[in-house]
Amino acid sequence: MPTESPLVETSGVSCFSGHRVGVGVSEYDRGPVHEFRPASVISADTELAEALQSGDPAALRELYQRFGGLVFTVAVRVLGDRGHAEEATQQTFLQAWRHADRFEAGRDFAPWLATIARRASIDIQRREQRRPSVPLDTSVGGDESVTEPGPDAEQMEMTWTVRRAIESLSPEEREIVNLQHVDGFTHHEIAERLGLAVGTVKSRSFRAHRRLERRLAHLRTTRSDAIRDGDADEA
Amino acid sequence: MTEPSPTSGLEEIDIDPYADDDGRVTGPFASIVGDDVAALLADQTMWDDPPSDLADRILGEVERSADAPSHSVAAGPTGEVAGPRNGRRRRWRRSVSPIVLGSAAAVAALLGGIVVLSAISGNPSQPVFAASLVPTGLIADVEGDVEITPSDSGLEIALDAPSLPRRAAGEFYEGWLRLDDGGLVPAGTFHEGGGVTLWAGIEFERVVSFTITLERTAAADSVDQASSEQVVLRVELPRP
Repeated sequence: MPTESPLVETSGVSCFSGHRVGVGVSEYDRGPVHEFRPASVISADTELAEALQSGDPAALRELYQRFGGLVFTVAVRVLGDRGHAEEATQQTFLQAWRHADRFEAGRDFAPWLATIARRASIDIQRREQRRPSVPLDTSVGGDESVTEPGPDAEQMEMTWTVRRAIESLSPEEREIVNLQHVDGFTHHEIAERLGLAVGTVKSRSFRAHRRLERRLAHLRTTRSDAIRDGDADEA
Repeated sequence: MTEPSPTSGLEEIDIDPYADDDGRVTGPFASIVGDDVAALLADQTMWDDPPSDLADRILGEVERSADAPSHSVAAGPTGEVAGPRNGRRRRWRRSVSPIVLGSAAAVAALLGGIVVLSAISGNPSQPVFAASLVPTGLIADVEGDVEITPSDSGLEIALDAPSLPRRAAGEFYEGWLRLDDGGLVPAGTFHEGGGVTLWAGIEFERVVSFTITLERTAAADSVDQASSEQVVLRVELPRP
């Protein structure tokens, strides 16, 4: 095998290069280093992209079913308001529909959609801050320079990576993990709340966190490397 | 306490290694994934879903505006700009489904979808191979994915095959790497396939296939724990 062969890929899994293309509708961040997509998913994504580009509304619905939660999460993180996040979500998928030709079939939809969602959310945020009814503590004379910029690209990547990890859990696992992390319940408290055996809660918790660890532990490595590299640059 | 719900074949365990002595996971898991990620998991907005009718609203907006996706335009040799494609509207069908056939055709289709990645120079911790595994039919309705990352210690093989039924009572699964000279290198044993990490001390360039077999514990007086050859899942690695 050549030692310096270019990245060979049958479809958009070029995320291992770690190269960031940039943000925008026609450019998008690539996925994190360790989040590979199985061949079956790559194939399905390719078909979906091609159907979207050919103008099939069923493809848009499928895109929403797969990524609506992720887009909504990004929007809520930026806007902090569910109602506006719904609007941003709607705008995101409309833009994805209109600009489907700019998306390279086979690539991972998630970073592309997350980027569009972030921009749509920021646009809504700025629009709302120009409204006279906006409370003074969130706007100063409509000066966009004081607009909360929202999470940066790296934080967005972390957000949608965590969201995807959550979505990889079964409904039973998701229910338990939600109670553990959001509400801080113990195994026994969850068992009593859900009417399950404690051993069952422990088993589901273990399996879920093992999957989450596999999908998320690299984020800590990535950020540690970035911090270390930043320190090295300053040295 | 009410009657416990079925565990869907999962064994109940006494200890959750991700929890502390009080049965909470937040602290221990934060030490694994970092405080930033843990904070996101603790944020309810990360778990919220959009309203169920939002898809209808989006499609309704598309229909009202008669919005069609824009198409790439390119100038022809005479300088004319080509119009939008007049391709027929394909009915898209869901094609994400478990691979349940072990036929040669399915294998060929799968090989076409294998991703072969070059190791990034100067960064040996990057995966170099990722693929979906092909079931042989020995166990029905199983599937899985594998990712191989070379390191100084050998090959790290990340396996995710949660559909493999858990083995117990002297049975287990084992990963194997077939080499270019026909040799076989064991990669490790496991009871169930969700999120398993296997290791093999061999160079990636010599590996031609990865398989998972169903094994039984060797008898006490046996010195040979060779492969049973009962292959459950397999994938061929493309050769240059």
